[in-house]
Amino acid sequence: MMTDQPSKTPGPTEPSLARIPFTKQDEATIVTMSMWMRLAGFISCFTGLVTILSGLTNLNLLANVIAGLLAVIMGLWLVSGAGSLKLVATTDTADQDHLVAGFQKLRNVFLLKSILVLIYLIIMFAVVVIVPFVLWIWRHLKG
Amino acid sequence: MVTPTHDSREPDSLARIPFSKHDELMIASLAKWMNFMGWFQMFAGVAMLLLLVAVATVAGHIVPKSLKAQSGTLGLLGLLLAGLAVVIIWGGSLLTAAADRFKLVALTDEADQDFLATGFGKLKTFFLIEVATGFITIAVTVMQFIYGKGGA
Repeated sequence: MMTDQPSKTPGPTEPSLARIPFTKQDEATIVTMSMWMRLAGFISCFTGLVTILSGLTNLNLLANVIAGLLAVIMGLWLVSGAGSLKLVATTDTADQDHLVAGFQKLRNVFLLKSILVLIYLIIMFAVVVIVPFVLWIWRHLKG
Repeated sequence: MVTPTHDSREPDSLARIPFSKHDELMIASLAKWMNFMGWFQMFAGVAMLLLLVAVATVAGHIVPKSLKAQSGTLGLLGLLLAGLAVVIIWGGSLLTAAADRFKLVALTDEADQDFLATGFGKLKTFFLIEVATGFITIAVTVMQFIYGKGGA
């Protein structure tokens, strides 16, 4: 949504805000959000470790290790991001810097998830559409 | 830990938080990927609902008499899965709504602080849903493991 106001044109480097004046209610929301985010991170780490360990008992070792490692990495990013965002609400030392650090971790998580989803969609498209089409062409060429 | 000291008369919320150009691009990128994941999640939830309806419709016609007695259990399972699909769609909508707020933080100077606050509110509920579905998934996996071992 673009407004009639001119686009943001930051001037020379401005100092980061030590304090963003969130209300008590907003601070409580941020603290609660960071709590659920941290818990989601721990769950991701846990399921990642379980996935890696279960790969040791079956033939899908490589797939399980990769999937498990990715889940653990995303979990660690979530936990780290939650810590940074909690500092925004509980301290007044460097709110803007903590905000940026938290957002960076969140961006990493959603970027990695999006890449995995795109890979999954490409594979599904190939399996459902391209492979049957190629096989059909091949059968017709063979006569 | 520094205890925040808030004056009883809080200043108006900040219209602009002086993020650097690099940080603004990062926040806009975050919003973009959050939006993508949100829409994918909503799409997946709708697909799950449609699949459940299709299965329920077909199963109602072809289920063998031996399974008729278990139709109540199967129906309950279907309802639970439908509820899960609705929750997935809800989570996706929250993610896209939060993404829109964060995008406004990066692109405008109208009400950065307010957009952040509402975006965090949406994210709070989203992660609550993530945790709840995560616990349900773990519980179902553990039960499968236990009953699978018991059956063997």
